[in-house]
Amino acid sequence: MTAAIGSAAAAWAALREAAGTPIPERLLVSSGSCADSAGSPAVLAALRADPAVRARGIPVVAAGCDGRCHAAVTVLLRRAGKTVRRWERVAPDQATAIAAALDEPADAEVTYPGQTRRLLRDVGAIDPLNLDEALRRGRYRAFAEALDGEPGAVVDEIERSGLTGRGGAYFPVGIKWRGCLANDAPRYLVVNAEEGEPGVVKDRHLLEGDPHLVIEGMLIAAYAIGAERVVVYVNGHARTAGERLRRAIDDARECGLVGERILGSSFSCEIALTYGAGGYVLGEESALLESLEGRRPMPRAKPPLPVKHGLFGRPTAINNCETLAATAQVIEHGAEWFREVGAERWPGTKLVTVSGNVARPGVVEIPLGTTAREIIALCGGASDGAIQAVLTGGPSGSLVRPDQLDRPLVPRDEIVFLGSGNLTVIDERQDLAAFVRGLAAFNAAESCGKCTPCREGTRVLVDLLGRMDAVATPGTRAEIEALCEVVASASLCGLGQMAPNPVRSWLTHFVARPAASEEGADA
Amino acid sequence: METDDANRRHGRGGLGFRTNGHVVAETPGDERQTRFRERLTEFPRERGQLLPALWAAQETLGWVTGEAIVAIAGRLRIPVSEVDGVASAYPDLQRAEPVPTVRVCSGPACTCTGAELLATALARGVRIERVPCLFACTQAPAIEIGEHVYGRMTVGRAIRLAASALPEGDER
Repeated sequence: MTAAIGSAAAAWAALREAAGTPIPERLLVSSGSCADSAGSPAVLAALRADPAVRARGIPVVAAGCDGRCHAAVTVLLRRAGKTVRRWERVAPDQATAIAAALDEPADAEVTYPGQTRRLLRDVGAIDPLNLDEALRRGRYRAFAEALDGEPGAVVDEIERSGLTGRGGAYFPVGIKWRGCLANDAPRYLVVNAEEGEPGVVKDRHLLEGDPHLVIEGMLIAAYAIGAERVVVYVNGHARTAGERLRRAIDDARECGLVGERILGSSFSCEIALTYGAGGYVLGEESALLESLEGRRPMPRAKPPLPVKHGLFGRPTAINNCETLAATAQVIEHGAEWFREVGAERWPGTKLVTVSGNVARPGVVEIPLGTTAREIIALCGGASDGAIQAVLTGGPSGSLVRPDQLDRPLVPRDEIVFLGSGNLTVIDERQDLAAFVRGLAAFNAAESCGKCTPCREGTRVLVDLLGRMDAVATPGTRAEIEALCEVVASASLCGLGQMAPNPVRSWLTHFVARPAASEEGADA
Repeated sequence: METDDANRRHGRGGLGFRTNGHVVAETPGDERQTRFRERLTEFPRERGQLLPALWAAQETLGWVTGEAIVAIAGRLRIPVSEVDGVASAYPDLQRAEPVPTVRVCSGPACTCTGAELLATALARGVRIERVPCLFACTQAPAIEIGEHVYGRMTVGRAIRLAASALPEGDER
């Protein structure tokens, strides 16, 4: 598997040479799952059709969203590699005004204060489907250089970086890869872009805005574990993300970055893409493997772990797409650079989706260890009224009180569950008990039914919570708590084990409070 | 393979459709049927192709029909019952002819931003379905009509959109 010395980097340099020089001036329209639902296609069409824009010859590009989804549809004016102007909440009839403003002096760079934008650095600011542009930004260079070295060097660097899985489990990537390497080839790399967790849209942003960053990460990971087959599993609802990724893979293949003997090396790797069709259980990695094998998506009993017995029984590393984007950057900039930010035990940055009753919902990138309060402040605080609670980590995450928001967001915190990274702000107008029942109902409906504690337990939990004054009645409350314990400890997979989380955290942090609502008047 | 032979014995092998009580269903137009059969012949006979083949059925025929289940089973050499079982495990695969519906998101962000009000108001005029999440969380509340997601919905806008997108007379 050793690459011929010097050749891959030289081949990359030739590709870079052919990629030409940057485009001096461009308009970038946010376009993707968030912006499209706010009318992006019409804005794009209006700008492209505008006579003044056409006369000027300025390219109008469908870009990703820079994370300020609240401002969609946004239009960015980029000059000489800098965003110099930014229009928010643009309607199609503003095209003429934007065209007229192009001659106004603009050179102050648009920034994103409070964020540490590494993975999102180029998201929204580039043409996601332009491989030449990706090469000019240095994409695939780190991969080419890695090809000239030993795969083991990549694994060492990742291990030094302390990178952990960004899908929500935060398992050390280096250990997972070593586990995979301990088993015989052929090995597979499965990329989890399923992202079926209500409230989480960060992988979509990454794929819609900078697919080549994720592809480079896939190739580096595949080289590290000696996988010649990569399968990307994309959420069936994330068609924009999936189709941009597919086109980017095709472009990369055409340039010899994917396929046989990549960049003249002895490493060959093919990337295939497949769509899911819904189901929260696909967030469990072995259920995802079952789905890829054409079976009902249900978790497998572990061990054996996927690194030993994964896709079609072969050793398989399953990595989240944010993890792979970070992988590309670790190899590009080095482990030390990666460790410059983040919490001591948990280096690096994290993408966080912020939604609910917040002034500026969106996707932000912050160092691990940032507090939830800081993140909510970045998004403008509560939209209207005081914060009652924050749901962290999705429908099987935890409900957190406003006074608990100053804890650093790190994996494995016993109060603030980070999960795959989301904060849903719930203000005082909401009926929190009904909200919790809704989450419990979601977890019951999404139970795959394979194991009894989850299948039956989650359903009974919904029934119990539906009883009049359930948590005010000591007997019922005790029953609920006991049932939560059974589901959490006896379910087969992580999803079942986490299903009672919202109910438990609600009871612990909200209902038992002395000065809580009527329901909280626990006997 | 054994399954394929079993299917053939029961007259369900290959692409020859046979409807029995379980799989009988309304049939989309012949032209779409032909297109689906053609697409199906391009699928490698591998079990891993099952979900992509089910998507092909939904995309070509509009929904996963009983005949499509049988055809896929024949092509991929998987028992019909297993294909049916897999298809039923995915909420995004339609198992009956789709009726015009407004899907209202009931994810956490939309719940906090008035999704239930939208659902109640829309339900007076059109068929609605509450879905777990439309993944437009940063544009909450969101609804979906056909394949298009609309964000930042108000009751007024939702009713106007539903009225213009759904055929008349679909009141219930």
